[in-house]
Amino acid sequence: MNKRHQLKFTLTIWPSVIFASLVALTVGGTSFIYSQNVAAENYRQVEATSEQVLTNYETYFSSAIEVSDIILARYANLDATAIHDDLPFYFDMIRELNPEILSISLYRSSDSYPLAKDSESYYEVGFQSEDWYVEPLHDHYINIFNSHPSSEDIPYSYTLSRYLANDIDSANEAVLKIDFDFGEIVENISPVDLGEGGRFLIYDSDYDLIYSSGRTMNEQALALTKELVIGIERVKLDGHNHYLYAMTIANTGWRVAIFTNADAIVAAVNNFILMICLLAIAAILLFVLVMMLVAGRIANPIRLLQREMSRVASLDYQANVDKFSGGNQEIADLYDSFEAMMARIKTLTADLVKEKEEQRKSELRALQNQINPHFLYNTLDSIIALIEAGQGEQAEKMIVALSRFFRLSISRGHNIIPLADELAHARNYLLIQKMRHGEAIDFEFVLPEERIDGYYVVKLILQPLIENSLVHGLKEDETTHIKVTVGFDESFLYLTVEDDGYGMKESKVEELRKRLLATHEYKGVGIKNVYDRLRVYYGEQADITIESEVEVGTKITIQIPKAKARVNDEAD
Amino acid sequence: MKRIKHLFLSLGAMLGLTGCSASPSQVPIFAYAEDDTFISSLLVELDRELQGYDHPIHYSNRDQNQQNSAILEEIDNGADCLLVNLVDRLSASAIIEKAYEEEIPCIFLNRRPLDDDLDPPEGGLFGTWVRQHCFYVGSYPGYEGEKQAEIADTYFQAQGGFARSPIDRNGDGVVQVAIIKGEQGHQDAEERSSACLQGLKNRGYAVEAVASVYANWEKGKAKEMAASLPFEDIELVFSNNDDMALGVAEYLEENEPDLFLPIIGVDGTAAGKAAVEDGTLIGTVVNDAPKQAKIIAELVSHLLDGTPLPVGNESFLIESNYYYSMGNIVSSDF
Repeated sequence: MNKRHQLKFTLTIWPSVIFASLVALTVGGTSFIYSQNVAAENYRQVEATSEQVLTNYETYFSSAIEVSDIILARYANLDATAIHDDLPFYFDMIRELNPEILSISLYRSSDSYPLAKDSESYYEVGFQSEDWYVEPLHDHYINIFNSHPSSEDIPYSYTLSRYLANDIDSANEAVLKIDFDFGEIVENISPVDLGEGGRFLIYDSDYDLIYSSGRTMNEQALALTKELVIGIERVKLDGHNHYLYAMTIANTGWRVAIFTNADAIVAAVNNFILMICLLAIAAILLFVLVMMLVAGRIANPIRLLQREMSRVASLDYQANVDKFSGGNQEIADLYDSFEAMMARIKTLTADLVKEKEEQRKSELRALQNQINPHFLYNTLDSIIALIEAGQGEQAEKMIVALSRFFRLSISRGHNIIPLADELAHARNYLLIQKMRHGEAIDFEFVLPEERIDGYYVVKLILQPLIENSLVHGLKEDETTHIKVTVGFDESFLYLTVEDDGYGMKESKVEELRKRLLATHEYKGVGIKNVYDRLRVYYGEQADITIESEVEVGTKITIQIPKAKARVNDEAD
Repeated sequence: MKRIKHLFLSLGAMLGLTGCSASPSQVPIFAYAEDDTFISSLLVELDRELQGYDHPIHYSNRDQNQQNSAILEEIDNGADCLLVNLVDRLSASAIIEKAYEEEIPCIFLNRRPLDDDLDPPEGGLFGTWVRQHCFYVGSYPGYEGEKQAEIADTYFQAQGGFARSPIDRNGDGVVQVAIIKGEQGHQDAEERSSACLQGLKNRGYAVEAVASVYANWEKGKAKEMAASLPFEDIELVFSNNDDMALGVAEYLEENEPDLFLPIIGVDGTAAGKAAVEDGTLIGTVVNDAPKQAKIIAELVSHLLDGTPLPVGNESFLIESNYYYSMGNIVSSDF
């Protein structure tokens, strides 16, 4: 059996599902667009801020490179004398103009010979394999930046070194070394307020850290930077969301990375999404509620109608739909039609019952008319014989009995007669038979102690059973006793006709029982006739039981529902 | 952001909106500046050679930061190969790393990355990838200077040798040279300058560099700087390019009409060639933009379509993933 849903459920669920899908789609779309917009906006902001920081650094470094540029330009045209005599003063002047410069010195590239320095610093020694000296010799056209390890006095410093050509005498080609103090610069132009875990990093192309504003997690920060190389991206550092901006610092070979904490943005986006989701859920719930109400208004009258209809199925036509007056025009029309229909069904049913009753009565009449007419002829013959034999008294008795017998048979045309009358009828019949058969039969009536008036039965039901005993049970040369018994129990009235005649074989009894239940008529079988009439009048509860044993006798019992035996529906 | 963009792009491709095979490969070009004569001529040649590809040009206005941004943007747009004319040679390492991360091959033009950049010492996956997918195409360092020396030598020999010729005005047998540099410390300028002096020395001449000035590669600036040159002591002028050579020639024509100085340029621009024709310059060396553009196109085709690598010849030198053009001499009949 496939499961069918209630109308109310169907009316509620589908619009709700569609509405919920639409809402979900809208919420999803809005959230996506909003978070994208916020992300894009922040991306632009972070990019702009980071680029500004980078520009500041590039401006600073280009001023450092400018120093090396003017020395390079000047040195290209200096002869040996000028190098020796003028350059130290020139260096001093540059240092005066650039207080962050710690020292300036110059070494001949062919033999590392110190050529010139400013007056306050010292020449380096043993530097031939150091990066600041080797790298300019390897590539003549770039500024080489090498950071120094932190010292207490100068936490951040670096060397700018460069190859200097000399157009006057190529023997004077040299390596310039300028040391810069970097501390004040990073303090002043590094970005502040990058949020929790946010940091600013300077590192070289081998990802060796030169400066970081963060105290911890710098290894992890560098690893993330190495993945990105250059550009801007959202990353997670130490459990925090960050925008990572990484870029090269032009002309230095160094790079910067800026981690800007983005937790607040992520939280804002998440809050927005959470709120819009809650709103959506509330809207969906409200919608479902409203749909349930609307569906109820439509479905409840239909449910009521359905309930009333199901009463019809159980043969109760007392449907009443007045109880519910709400609902729409269509429902009201439906109710009106339903009521009209119920009224019509009620009338039709009543007619049908009446018709059935009439049919039953006419059937009954037809069945009763089947009483054997030979009995009348035989009795009249017996009376004639008695009169001829001069036994006028006996003949008179017999005529009286016959007269009563027939009066009861007719019973003014009634089908249902008092039980007492039926018993009187049986007694008159037996009297007549006794007179005919003399010593061959004897009979008695056994009545219960309680009164039998007030009980009614279908008439002429005992006589055929007695006739059966007389026809099949009479023994030769022996008196056959016939006993008619009336008995009660809780629910039934029992009428029994018993004889001690020949009795019947089991097979004969079986056949008789079968005939009782057969649908077609067996001519001349009185018991079948009685059985049919009982069934027509009393229904299934009425029954006839037959017990018989060869040489012992036969006992036939009529069973009638007590309640129905108390009713005389033909009473005026 | 970028991943999402990629996702949409690949979705689009899957839906057949932009069939990968149908749309041409993206080969963006990043030029360091818009106003460089040689770069402009190279771009014209590239435009011709890269007809089969989408090749938007980004000018970086001498700002490496701007160039980096343009490169990142094109990577996001799904670039298939990058042609980079660096602003800052030191930024090549970052661009190569990024190209490796995104697996986009990269050809550097005209400005050479550092030695380690195209041939990483650490090797491994990264090193192998770089050696297969990153190239440099440019002129051979100092080659033009060497060719300039060759022009001077040919010219002197046409005069029957330098010593005692009218060119050796002071008669000391030593060639007094003035050098007009593009920029101080600029690779091309320095390489050409030292190579032309060295080339003369190698050919057995005694050489004295009397003066060097730098004129920012510009004709006007060179004309202005020429005023400071001691022309009475100068017997030969090497200029790092034709523009500056013509600036000096113009100065001489206006201020020293009686003095004849042999001037040699580099680049072989249209104006330079015309000046050689009419004898204003005695010669110039072609910086071979068409040849470089052709090699670049062959490399792009190799990287994207798997065609064989270009083969070197006498006008093109190949050293691992460095490709150098060897320009021709343009000179008058002496």
